[in-house]
Amino acid sequence: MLFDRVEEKHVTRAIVEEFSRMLAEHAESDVIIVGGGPAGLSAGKELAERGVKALIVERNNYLGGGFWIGGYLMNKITVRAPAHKVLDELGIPYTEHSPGLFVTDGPHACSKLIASACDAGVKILNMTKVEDVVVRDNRVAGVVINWTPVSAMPREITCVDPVSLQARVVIDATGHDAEVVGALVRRGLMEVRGYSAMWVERSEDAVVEHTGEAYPGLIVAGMAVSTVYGLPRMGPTFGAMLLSGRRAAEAALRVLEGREE
Amino acid sequence: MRVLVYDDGDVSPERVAEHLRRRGLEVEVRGSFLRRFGDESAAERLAGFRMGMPCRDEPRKPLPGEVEYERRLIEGRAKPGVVYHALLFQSYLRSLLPEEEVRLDRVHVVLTSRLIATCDSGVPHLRVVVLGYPGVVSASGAVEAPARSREYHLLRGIAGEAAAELMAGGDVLRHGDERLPAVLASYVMQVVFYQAFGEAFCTSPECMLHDSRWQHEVLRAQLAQRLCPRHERMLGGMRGAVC
Repeated sequence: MLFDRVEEKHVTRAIVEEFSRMLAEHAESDVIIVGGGPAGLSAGKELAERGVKALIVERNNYLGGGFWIGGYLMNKITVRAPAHKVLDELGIPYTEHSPGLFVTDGPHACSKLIASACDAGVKILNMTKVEDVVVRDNRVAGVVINWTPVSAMPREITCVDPVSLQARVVIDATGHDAEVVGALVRRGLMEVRGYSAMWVERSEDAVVEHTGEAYPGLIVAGMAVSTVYGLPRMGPTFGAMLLSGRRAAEAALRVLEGREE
Repeated sequence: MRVLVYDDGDVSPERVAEHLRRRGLEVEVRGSFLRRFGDESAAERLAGFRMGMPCRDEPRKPLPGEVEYERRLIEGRAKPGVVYHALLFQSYLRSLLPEEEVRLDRVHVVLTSRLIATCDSGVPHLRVVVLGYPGVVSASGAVEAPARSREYHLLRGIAGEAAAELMAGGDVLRHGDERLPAVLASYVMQVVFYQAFGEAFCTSPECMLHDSRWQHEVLRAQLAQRLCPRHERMLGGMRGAVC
């Protein structure tokens, strides 16, 4: 026999106990990152590397968001300088397509980014949807979660209460949906902008520049920034997502350390 | 008449001033307008002038993150990346000018790296220059506002923006373009003429006062920095009379 003998009950116990231990440990985290796309993964990697207890909550089974595929279902990822330096750091091969514009394979880049975040120590809660936020003393202090399949089923046949996770900082990296921000908007605690006038040349810069604390305890990163501040859309380039994630991590560290900018 | 040039962002004011001095104007470069005259509320006021879609001709209540961004922008710790209501922006700058600075023999011009626009039926229209007191000239506006050629847009539609940019080469202005200071100087000249004569524009496509709508017109009129004979005489008269 090639494999050791293990009974079904042992497999089940291993899954349940290990998952439960991870979930119990992260019932309270330093930082919860909602959204496991390039911005969320970058933020998670940076934080975990600095010893921050970070948890990524991802509604899909898979991590990486749109980072697997570039535009029009073609799996080539483009980044503009200086974001190619992030690719260097992650050991992702690329070519310079034209001055300042770099191209890499989506699957290679995305898998390396996911691995780097996991290697750094960030924990992942996938197939989990954030339904609401925990607010304490006018600060975002956590998220309310449920299994993604539950939220996808008609309410008439599912009545499954969610659970809550606490954190000192929450990062909304859910893309254009800005789901965490949306929870605050629904409560009338925050407002978001509509579309803004276009400035294509600076759209990536603008996303990075606006990354930061949008509500006490809540940092926005990636395309969620665009939704909150009504910034112009940028098309299928990903440099801003990577750099925005890093800036979100810096902002989270400032909050955790009690430093003002 | 003394031209007082201020900067608001990375706009090479000294190089712009050099071009103007070559035309015989007395020019003083004064540094950042907002750091010189702005107050504590500057970041919040500016954040309120950001233009949304559809745009409106009134300030909006800014979000805290927008105010923080403006603060960093004023301090030179951020790059501009949004569009502002040109007339509200100019009106705010005017309100900051101290009374002793408001004189007919002083032309205040703010060179800004912000993108500015006016609002027409809810749609923003990018602008390079806002005439008045103070005059506002946008470096990013010189790049983004004058339309690129039909061929550029056709190619952009077929082959994408990168290919169109590559093919355009030196036919369009770019951010950080070496030619920008000369172009901006021409727009400052429009502000000077407007204050001196109430006449900022010229119908001659060769004159630096031409109201250029296309990039190729900007490169022909504003970059060349020539005045038509009539406006040359007016400038001479102005220098002889006041400077």
